[in-house]
Amino acid sequence: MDLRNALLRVAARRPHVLIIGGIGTDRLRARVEQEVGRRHWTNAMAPADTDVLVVVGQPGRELRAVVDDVWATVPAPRARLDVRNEDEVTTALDDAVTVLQDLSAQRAGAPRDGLRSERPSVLSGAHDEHDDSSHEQGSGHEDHDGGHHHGGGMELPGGLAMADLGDDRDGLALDQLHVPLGPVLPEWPSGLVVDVVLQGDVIQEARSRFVDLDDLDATERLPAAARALESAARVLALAGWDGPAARARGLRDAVLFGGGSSAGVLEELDDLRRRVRRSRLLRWMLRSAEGGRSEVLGALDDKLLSARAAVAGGRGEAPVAVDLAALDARLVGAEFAAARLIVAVADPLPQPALTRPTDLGGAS
Amino acid sequence: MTTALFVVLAVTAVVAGALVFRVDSMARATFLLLLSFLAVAGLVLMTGLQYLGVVIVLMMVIEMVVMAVFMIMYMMNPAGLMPMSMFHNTRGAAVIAATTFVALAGGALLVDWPVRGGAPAPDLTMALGQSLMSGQMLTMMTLGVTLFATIVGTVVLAAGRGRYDRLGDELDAPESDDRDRGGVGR
Amino acid sequence: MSVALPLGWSVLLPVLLLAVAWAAVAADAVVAGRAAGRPVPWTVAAALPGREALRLLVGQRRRAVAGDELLRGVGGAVLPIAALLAAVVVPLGLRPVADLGAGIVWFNAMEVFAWAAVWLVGWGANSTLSLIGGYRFVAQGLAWELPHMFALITAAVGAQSLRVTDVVAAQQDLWFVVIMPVAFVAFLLSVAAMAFWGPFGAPLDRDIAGGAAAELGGVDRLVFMTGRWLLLVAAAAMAVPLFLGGGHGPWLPAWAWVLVKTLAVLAALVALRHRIPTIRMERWTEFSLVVLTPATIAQALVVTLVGLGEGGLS
Repeated sequence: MDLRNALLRVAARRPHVLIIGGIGTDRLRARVEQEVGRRHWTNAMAPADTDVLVVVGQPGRELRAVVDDVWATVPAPRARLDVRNEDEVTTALDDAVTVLQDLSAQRAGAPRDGLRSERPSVLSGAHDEHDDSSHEQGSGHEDHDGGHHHGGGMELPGGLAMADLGDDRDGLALDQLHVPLGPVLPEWPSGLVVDVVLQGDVIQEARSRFVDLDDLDATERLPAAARALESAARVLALAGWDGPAARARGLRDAVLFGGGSSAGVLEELDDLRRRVRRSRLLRWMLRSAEGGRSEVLGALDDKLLSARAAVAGGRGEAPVAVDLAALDARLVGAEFAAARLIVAVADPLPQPALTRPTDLGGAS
Repeated sequence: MTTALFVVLAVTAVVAGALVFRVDSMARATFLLLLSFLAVAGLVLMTGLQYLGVVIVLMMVIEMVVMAVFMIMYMMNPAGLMPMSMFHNTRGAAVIAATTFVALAGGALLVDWPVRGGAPAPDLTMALGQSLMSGQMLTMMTLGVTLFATIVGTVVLAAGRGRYDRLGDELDAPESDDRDRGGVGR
Repeated sequence: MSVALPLGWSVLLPVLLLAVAWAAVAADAVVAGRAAGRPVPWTVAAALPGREALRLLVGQRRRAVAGDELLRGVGGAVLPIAALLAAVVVPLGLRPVADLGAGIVWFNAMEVFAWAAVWLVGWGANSTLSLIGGYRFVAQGLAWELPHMFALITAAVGAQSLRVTDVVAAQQDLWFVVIMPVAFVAFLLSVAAMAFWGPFGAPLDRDIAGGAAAELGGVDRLVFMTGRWLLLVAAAAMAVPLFLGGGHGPWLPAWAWVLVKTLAVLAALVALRHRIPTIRMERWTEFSLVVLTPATIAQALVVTLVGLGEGGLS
């Protein structure tokens, strides 16, 4: 047997999987995640680290373009799957391994040395270099004031607007960067895109929206308990607490797909809640400025509590709908890591960005 | 062998230093400067001053990385490869550079080099420490305090919001009104 | 009075470090599986490092559009080299590969190369999230450098020498961890922080999609990640000569003691990692400067006073 074939065979046995889904694909996505976890495969963090790209559901026009962009940046050996319903999940993942192990197919389908497409990668916020017309070589101007200001919104070959200048929170004029966050980011609500203006890693402006909202009628929502657990899992994973995050995901799967008695689920939920409550370090890390109570931590506890109520057979509170405008307002001024937590905790429902009463409730 | 090493390090130091002004990316300029400093540290190591040489490496790496952070503040686009000039105040700089070079080169060529008297101490690090902590104590203390005062003064002048803004005129507010609080929660 | 090992050991050193790193990765996978409630069998975990390495070796390399490939390449290569150079002063037994007179300062100087490396990789990829990862690590390094340096200096003061072998010799009767516990704890934590690993892994965290390494694929990623693990292993191994008596110990030969103690330090770090969430730098920096730095200075002062009381400087 060819050596390269053999190497490929071994390497493909535990691939890293990147799952992309639009709005309303949460259940199917959860099913894929469950299967990936059961096989001890790894969830990829970025396209560069991806072997298998799983597209769940039927992405709309905008998301499909994003998926194509992401796919163009996935290095070979690679496999791309479309999963439309839950019965396909197991066979699709089995097929992925076969594709990964097929040397000739990989050769034929390899991207040009990882070169990116012409369109900007929405995912990574990659963008093009800094144009600087005021710094022309050898212009020799004496009174250089360090300014390389130029109107924003100018498009470069890479497609993104370049950085421009703005006041930071200490009153210094520093560079700003316009970057879209999502829709493909780890622990990110399906289909959400937040266009932000970044200065360093502080968010100065934010505008969130959902892609492909026209397909909203196709949306199927997760039951309240599963949704709350999913959101809690995201918060825990973003806080870098992988063990409890995986446990929350396991509980979500138990709620969605059965497996484990209701009493067992309740017991483990209580256990998880106790651990989250008891962790002083988590409290320290999630503490926020306003009020003595940690907003993120409080919301996390609320989510686990409401999930528990729903599992126990109570009606369970309906998830608090977070207005996109309210989310934008919360994001302004947040440091990047804090902003990720705010989004994970807010867990906005797909909705057009119409005005709603600004009620944050306990959700942010 | 020693000569070859010396030549390599010396040429690296000079060439990398000159390239700082030829490249058109701030990041490359910063790290070329670092390379130049590292070559100088190598030359110091060759003189047997192990401690000083290693400390130069340590300090220069930290300094250049800190400089890179300031760079991002003023130029957020990563990998900025778009050509930009690294020159400011070219005429003045040329005069200063030429004067300094003439003075130093002239000094090196014209001054009679002293003849070594005595032998180097068995442990140069120990000798350095004893010199700093006895004969040169006053110099070092003055230098240290001056540098520290400069740092503190610069920060005080530059900070838009000091502790009196955060904690009130009597510094008696139970907690500051910062949006993001630090780890100690003040 | 150099007691360095024969030159051949410099070839063996990377192999040893890689072997220990392999064990650490496997142990990490096992503990992670247990913490996630989805146990990973030992057999799978033991093969995991090799399989991941193979996966990256056959993987395609990636080039960022308009990225600074030169700087990124330099950064990626510097990381494992810095880890190896840091490890040359660690005694494997009672003798290191290079017995430098200023060994402790050398170790720290090589560690800070990691700052430059991670920043370069984050910058060169031309991606915002990578850049955020890159400068998160600079903030982390700055927050840690002072406590780390004072912890190192405390051990040097205790032995009255910057030479690592002298530090080991000074611990023949009493391990330094007993007389300088604060410095030991600060060192242990900063070791993980300097290797941007575990609870201090914010520069490569999930919230920024892998951060500085987000755009690395194929062999570039392998070199970078290996470099990180090597740095962690080298730094953990350094805790042994500085605070845990080096090769001193009953029954076993010196090299075995060093190995056992290094593995114990790594095991403690791996166990710690899965018990706590990521430590965010905007919270930690103030703690580090306001609490940890004074604590380590006080520790150094106490050790100095004890040293003076016992007869002063020789």
